[in-house]
Amino acid sequence: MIVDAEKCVGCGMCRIYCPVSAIQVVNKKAVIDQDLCTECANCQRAKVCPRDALQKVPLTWPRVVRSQMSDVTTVYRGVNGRGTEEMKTNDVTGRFKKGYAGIAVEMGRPQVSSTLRDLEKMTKVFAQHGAEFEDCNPITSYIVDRSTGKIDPSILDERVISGIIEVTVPIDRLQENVEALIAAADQLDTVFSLDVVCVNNEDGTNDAREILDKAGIWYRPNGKNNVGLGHVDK
Amino acid sequence: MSHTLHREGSVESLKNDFVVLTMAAQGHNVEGSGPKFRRYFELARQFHPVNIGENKNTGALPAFDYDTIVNKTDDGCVCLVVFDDEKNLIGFLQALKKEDLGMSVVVSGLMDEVAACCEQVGLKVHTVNMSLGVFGKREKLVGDKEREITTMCGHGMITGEMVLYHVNRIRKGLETAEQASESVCKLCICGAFNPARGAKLFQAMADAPAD
Repeated sequence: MIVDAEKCVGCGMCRIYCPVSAIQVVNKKAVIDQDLCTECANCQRAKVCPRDALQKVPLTWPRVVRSQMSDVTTVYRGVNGRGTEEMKTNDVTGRFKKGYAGIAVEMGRPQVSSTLRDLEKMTKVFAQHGAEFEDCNPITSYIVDRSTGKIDPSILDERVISGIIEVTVPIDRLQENVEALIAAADQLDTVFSLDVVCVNNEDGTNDAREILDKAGIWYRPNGKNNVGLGHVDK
Repeated sequence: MSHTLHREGSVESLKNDFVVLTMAAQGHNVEGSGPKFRRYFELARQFHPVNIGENKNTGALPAFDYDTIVNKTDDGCVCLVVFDDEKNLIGFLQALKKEDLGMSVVVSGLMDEVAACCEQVGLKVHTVNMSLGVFGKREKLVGDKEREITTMCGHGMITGEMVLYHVNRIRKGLETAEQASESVCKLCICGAFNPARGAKLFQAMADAPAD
């Protein structure tokens, strides 16, 4: 995003719409810190500028990664957004099977943002603990070596509002992975939101939930529940 | 993963906050899903959702009206409806079960409460997604109270500064908590934001002593 200085009247109304505080008013003109800006376009979409001074510019590699991961309107492989269908369609796809758990690390969320360099620290943790990276995920497409979790070096300094690493692990390696991720949090200059996916058993119990309970790993009382209504027409 | 997952707040505050999402599975049932999604929105209408949205062709209430969102929904959309009442959620789940649209449906809310609602209508939770919270440099986060509002937009488009700006306006009598909530709701273009819960949270912040 850029500010057309000719149009900008310096009112500063755009400032509070930036999720990563990249906009400042300097000498009565809004200025966008290009290192902090994640190209989410929220400032423009909010239509708060009385002079339409906030403008998108055509992005080239590697900066276009920011927009792909941060602009809500971006479509990636048929799915809007940063992640995949994950458990949302699991009743149809069977992506997460019995005996396995999904783990997602959403780097930079909520609203702190993350560089891909920080994100790579966590892909490396997953790689060290036998996690299988989700194929249809934008972040996975940036990993150049899945055995190490190494990300394309040309994008490491790009910053995104959030980037979601999605993996599957055998259920008996869930605790090990979660604990390794939490332990690695100290190395980061950002935050991440962590979540776990698991299929329910017939009796309504959930193996991942039981493992987390047993290990004393806290989780929120609210979560997402696929209620099993999906199917393919015969 | 999960723009409706990491909502923050007390159990009490999350009690009447349900986001119901439907989508098709790529490679399985995308083709012909548009009419099913439109029916989904029509079914939801009778249970008084406080928000609806899809982020492919239009957006959410109140930026677009209900009919426009429904009419523009087509194959491959991700459709959300939000309820602030358990009875309406149960009614909607009942209607969806009866209609058997075949599209996957995900309910975000208190897990035990959602499981109980499902049981009432004869549905079983298939897969769950649990949030383990936020790790790392938590000192970079906005305040706890602001996050109860900001995390209702999972894409992070509602900022902590914006929340404080509106709280200040409510305190000065320049707008109501409902108006503040509607204002920030417009930035959450998927329709995941719960404006009824937002208004309560704004009012509580405005009523609290200023720091």
